[in-house]
Amino acid sequence: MNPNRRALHRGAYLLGIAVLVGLPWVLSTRDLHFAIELLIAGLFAMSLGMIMGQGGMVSLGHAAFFSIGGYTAGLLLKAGVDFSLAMTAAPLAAAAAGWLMGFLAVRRSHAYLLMLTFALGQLVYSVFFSWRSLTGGDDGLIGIRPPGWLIPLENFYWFSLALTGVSIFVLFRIFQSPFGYSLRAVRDSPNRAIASGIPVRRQQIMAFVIGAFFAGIAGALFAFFNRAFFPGSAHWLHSADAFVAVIVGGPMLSFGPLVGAVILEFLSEFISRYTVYRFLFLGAAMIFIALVAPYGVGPPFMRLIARIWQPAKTASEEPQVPAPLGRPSPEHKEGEAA
Amino acid sequence: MDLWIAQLVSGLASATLLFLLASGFTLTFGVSRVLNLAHGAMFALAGYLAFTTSRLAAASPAWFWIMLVLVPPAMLGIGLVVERTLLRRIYPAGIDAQVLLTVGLIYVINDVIRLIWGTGYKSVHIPAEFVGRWSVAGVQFSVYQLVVVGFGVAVASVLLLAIHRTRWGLLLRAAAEDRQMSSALGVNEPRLFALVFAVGSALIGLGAVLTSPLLTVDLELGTGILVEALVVVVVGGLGSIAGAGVAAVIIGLIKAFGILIAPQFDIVFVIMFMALVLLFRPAGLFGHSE
Amino acid sequence: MSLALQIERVSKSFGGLMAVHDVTLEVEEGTVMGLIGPNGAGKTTLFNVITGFHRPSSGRIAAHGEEISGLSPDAICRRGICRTFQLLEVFPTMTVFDNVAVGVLASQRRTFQVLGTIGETSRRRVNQILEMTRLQDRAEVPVAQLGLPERKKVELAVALAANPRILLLDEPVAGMAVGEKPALIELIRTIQEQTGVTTVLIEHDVDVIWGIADQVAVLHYGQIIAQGTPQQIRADERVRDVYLGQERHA
Repeated sequence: MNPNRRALHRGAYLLGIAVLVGLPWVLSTRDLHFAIELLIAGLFAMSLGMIMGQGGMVSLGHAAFFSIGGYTAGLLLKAGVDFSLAMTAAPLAAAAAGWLMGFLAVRRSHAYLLMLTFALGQLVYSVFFSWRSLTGGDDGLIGIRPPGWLIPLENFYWFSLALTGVSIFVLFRIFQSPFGYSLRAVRDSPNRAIASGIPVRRQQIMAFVIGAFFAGIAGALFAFFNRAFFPGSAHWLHSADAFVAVIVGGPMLSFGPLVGAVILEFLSEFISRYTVYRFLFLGAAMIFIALVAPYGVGPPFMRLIARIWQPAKTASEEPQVPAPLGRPSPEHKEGEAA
Repeated sequence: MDLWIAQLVSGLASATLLFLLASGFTLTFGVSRVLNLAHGAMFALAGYLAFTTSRLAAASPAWFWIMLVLVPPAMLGIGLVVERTLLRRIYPAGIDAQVLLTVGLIYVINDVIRLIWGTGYKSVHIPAEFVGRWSVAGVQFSVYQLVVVGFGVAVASVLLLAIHRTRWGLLLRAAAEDRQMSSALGVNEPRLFALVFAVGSALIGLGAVLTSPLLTVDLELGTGILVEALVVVVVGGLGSIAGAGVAAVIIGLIKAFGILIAPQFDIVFVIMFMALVLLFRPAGLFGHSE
Repeated sequence: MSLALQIERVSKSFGGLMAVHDVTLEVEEGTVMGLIGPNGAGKTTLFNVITGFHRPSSGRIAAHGEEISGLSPDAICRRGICRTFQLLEVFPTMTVFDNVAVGVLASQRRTFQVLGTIGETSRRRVNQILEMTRLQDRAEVPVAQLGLPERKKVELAVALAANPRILLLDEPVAGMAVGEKPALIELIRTIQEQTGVTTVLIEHDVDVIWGIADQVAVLHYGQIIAQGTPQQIRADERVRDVYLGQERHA
C-alpha cells in the first residue's frame, strides 16, 4: 500500500474517532441513550464473535455471562465496594462461568452445543429469577449507584466509548495472536488442528472464557447505565440477540458481529418509532435475512467496502475477503474421543 | 403418602406434556436435521387457540372434545404452512440460518399473540366430566391428571407402533439414520420432512389442549416449556422417541418432587440432572454415539 | 539402526468388525515404509490408531522407544509424529502462510499466547518450510482458492511445520491427475532425503511405492500378509493373488 493511501486510512480512522467522541455535542439525550445501548450491544456481540466467529462454535447461552457481569457489578457496588474493584470483579466472575460452560459444552456437535448452552443459560436465568433475596428476582436489582463522575450522560457515554473501544481493540489483538490463529485453525479443521499438536478442547474452552470476560464487561456497563439490573438480561432471547447480530453481520469477519449489532439495533429502534409491535417486524426481517442471505449481510457488504478502501490495480491484487464457510447442518453425531 | 402419590401423578402428567413436545422436536431433528426453536412459541400459540376454541364452544357441554378435535389439526395446518414456506428453504444452509429463522418466527408468533389476545393470561377450565378426585384403595388421585397421563400413554404407544410397524415409520427411521442413503434410495424427502413437521405440530396442539386446564396460558409459557422439552430431548438422545419417553418421565418426576424441596428451583435440578447425564453419556441415554 | 516406530500386535475392532487384526510392524529410523493393500484393508485405521484418533483395542505402539498407545492426537504430534489425511485436511479460510504458521506455532507450544504476534523467529521458520515445499510464491493465497495438487503441498507443509521425526502420509497423491503425481512424489522424496525423516506412506498407486519405499508391508482384511523389500513383495505369490494380481486385469 502506498504511503498516500496509508495516510488516507489513518486520516479516516482519526476522523471516525473524532466523530464518535464528538457525538454528545450533536445528539439529543434520547439519541445519546441509544448510542450507549449500541456500544453495549456491540461489545456483547463482539464477545460472542470470539466463540462463534473465531471459534466456529455456537452458543445460545451468552446472556448468562452478561448477566453474571451485571449482577456482580451491581451487587458489589451496592455492598459498598469500590467502583474499580466492582468493574474488575464482574468480568472475572463472568470468565469463571465461561470456563464452566466451556468445560461442559465444547467438543460436541453443533446441535448439542446449541441446546446445551441454551439450557445452561436458562439455568442461570432461573437462578437469578428465583433467588429473590439476592437479586430481587423479577423486581430487579435496583438502586445501583455509579460514582458521581459517571452521572452526567456525556461522561457515561465517553466512559462507555473508551471501555468498549479498548475491549474491542483487545479482542482484535487476540484475534491476531498465536491463540487466535490456532483457534481459527480449530474452526476450519479440528482434525488437522489436533494432528498438528493443538489442544483443541483447551483452545475452545479458552474461547469461552475470553468471550465470557468481555460479555461480563458489557453486562457491568449495562448495570451502571440503567442503575438497575433485571433477570431478563439473562434470558435466552437476549443471547439470541447477540447470536443473530453475529450471523447477520457475518461470523467469518472479525468485526462482523459489530456490524450486525449496529444493523439490528438501528432496525429495532427505527421500527419501534412507528409501531409498538416491533418484534413482529424485527422477526419478519430476521426471517427475510435467513431466506435471502443465510451467511450474513457482512461478507457482501465487506467486499464492497474493500473495493472502495483498497482499489485493486490488477486482478491478482483483489482484496481477499474470507469466503463464508457456513456452518454445516447438524449432520454429524457425537464423535469418538479424538 | 397422599402427597407423594399426588406429586407422582402430577409428575406423570408433566411427563406427558414433555413427551408430546419432545417427541415432535426430536423427530423433526432426527429426520430433517432442523432445530426448531420456535417449538415453544408454537405451543404457546396452540394454548391460546385452545383457549379461544374453549370459549367459542363454551355453550356446548362437549366443548372439551370439540377443542380436542379442532386444535391439533389446526396446528398441523399451521405447521405445514411454516414448513412449506419457510423451513424448506433453509435446509441446506446450516444451523445459523435455522436459529435466525426460528428466532424470527418466535418474535412474529409472540407479537401475533399480543395482537390477537393481548398480554393478559388466559385460563381454561377442567372439563366437568373430569373434575374432582378418585379414591382408590384409600388414595386420592386427581382425575384430570390421570386422563392426561392416559392420553400420553396412548399417544406414545401409537407413535412407537407407527415408527416400528408402518412403512412411513420405516422411512423415518432410515432417514434418521442415514440421510444420504435413504435419499439415494428414492425416499421422497420433501414429503417426509413435511410429514414429520406436521406430526410434530399436531402433537404440540394435542399437548396444549390436554394441559391447558392445568397451566396458565401466557407468553412466558413458550420459553419455559422449550427449555424443559430441550432438556428431555438432550437427555433422551436426539432422534430417539423412546429416549424422549423415558427422559420425559424422569424429568417430569424430578420436577414434581423438586418442587417439594425447593419450589422455585425445580428447573435447576432438571438442568443439573441433564449435565450429569451428559458427563457420562455425551449423546444422551438413547442417543447415537459414533 | 534404531527403530523409529514399533507396532506390536495391535488390533482395533468397531463393534463386531475387526478392522485391524494383530498387526506387528517395525519401521527403522530414516527409512521409508510403504503400506499397501486393497480398499478397506485397514490401512487408514492403522494410521488412526498410531496417531491417536482411535484407541487400540489391544497391543502397544512405541515411537523412539517411548510408548504412545492411547495418547491423544495432539500429544502424539508433540512427540514428533505427524500425519496427513486421506481426505485432505487444511485450513481453507486461511492463507498458505497462515496454514503453515499454525503448524509452527503449535510446535513451539505458543497456542495459548493471547497477546502478541507470530513473531520474527516463527515467520522465518514458516518461510523455511514454504521454500522446502516450493510454496513460497503462493504464501498469501487463501487455501480455498488453490487446486488440489497445491492443497496437498500445503497439507504436507503443515505436517512438516511440526518438525516431525516420523511422517505418516495417507495417500498423498490420491485424486491427482496422472501428470500431476510425479512432482509431488519427487518433492516428498527430496524432503525425505534432506531431512532423513522416517516416513510411512499409504498409497494405491504401487508404482509410486516401488519408486520410493525401502520396505513395504501389505495389509489385507486388517492383517499383514507380507512384508519385505519392494522386490520381495512384487515376487510374493499371495500378494499377487490378493492385490497386485488385480493390476494385471486393470
